[in-house]
Amino acid sequence: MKYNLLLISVAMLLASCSALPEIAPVAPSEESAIRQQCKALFPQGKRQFVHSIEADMAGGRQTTMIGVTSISSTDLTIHCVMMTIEGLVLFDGVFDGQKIIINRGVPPFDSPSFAKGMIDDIILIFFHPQTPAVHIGTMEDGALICRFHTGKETAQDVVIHPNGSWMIRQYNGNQLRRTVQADVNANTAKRISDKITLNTYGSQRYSLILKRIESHHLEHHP
Amino acid sequence: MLYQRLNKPLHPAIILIISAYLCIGWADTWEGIRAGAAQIKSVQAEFIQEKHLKILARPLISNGSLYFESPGSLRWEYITPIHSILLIHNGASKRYIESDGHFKEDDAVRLQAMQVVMQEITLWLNGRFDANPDFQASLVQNRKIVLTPKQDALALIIKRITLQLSEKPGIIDEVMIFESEDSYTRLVFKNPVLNLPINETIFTKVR
Repeated sequence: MKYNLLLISVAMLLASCSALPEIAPVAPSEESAIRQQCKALFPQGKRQFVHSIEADMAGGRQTTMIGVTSISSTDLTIHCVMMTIEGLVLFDGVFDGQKIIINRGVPPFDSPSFAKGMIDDIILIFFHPQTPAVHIGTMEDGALICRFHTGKETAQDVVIHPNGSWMIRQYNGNQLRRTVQADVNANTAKRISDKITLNTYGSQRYSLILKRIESHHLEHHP
Repeated sequence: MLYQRLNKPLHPAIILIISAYLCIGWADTWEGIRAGAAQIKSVQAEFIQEKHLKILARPLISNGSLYFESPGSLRWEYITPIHSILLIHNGASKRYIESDGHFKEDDAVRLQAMQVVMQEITLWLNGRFDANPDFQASLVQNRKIVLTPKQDALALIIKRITLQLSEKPGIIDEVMIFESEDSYTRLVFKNPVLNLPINETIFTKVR
């Protein structure tokens, strides 16, 4: 058992230290189509999602909550609420594009660092990177890939696998920091995945499995 | 003549009036409520939970069932949208969540805020609405109870709770938990079954 845990730890450590994967270039005529496919993975306009969130945190703690996330891709704003299944609101926060405002935080969900981490996760999952893709092409397994330089030392890959599932890989330098894995829906006509898994690496490891309960377009909602 | 009238079956309207008369007053005083609740050894019911939040495009609806046995055994089960089971028995509380067909133990039950909610539920089902020293309990007209936190720290989590008692002694029709004026949870109970024996495994096992 201990040996297995050690192997898993080493594998995760190696994964987190892996270099950015190679991208095979494609013809310029194909780039535009891949760019569009990468963009289409992210919700457009004002949307609201209600998810069950299964959180697996450091120390083996597991909990499930309900998350309500309203986003606007046009003005890059977020309003999110996390509550227990019984409906008790643990966190209510707004990101106005610049700063985070905590409307309500019940301990231990009241810290600014928790709020920042949560908003960072939502941005990674739901927002297309704000910088243009610097590399577009294919990977060794045939997956399509768009690479973005999101900061001085940060990069983000959006990878679309041949089976329709997709993934976001976020790097700091050459180190993998977070991944988002979106499963293929049973109903393939629905673009937004019904099940999304976020994994973080490094010292503050956790994973979140988001399963969609409801989603709405919010164009007519205040 | 009188004999004849007494021997006739009672008109349903008369039965209703007599029944109503017998029930009037059970929720007028704390003593009446405690006496009504004292008759309750067990409760089984279904419930619908509506979560109202300003952010929500429409209220979030959950469905479930509850089993309660006096003095403190509870099974509070949500069927949708997330299948979860809260078990309280012999002073221990556990919560399980179904994920991909399997039940996993959940840690949210340890949250202080959750402890407040669980403690309240078992007190209400025992008819001890005024027993929690953290809340000021007021009995208002039409069988309604209002619980208000005494301390500011608790008021930050829950502004007030209102409970609508049934005409039938010992039964709660509806609970409203207000976190703020535009964030509240409404629980409506239906199909209550009283004093039917409940197998102990209902409070100890998820299936």
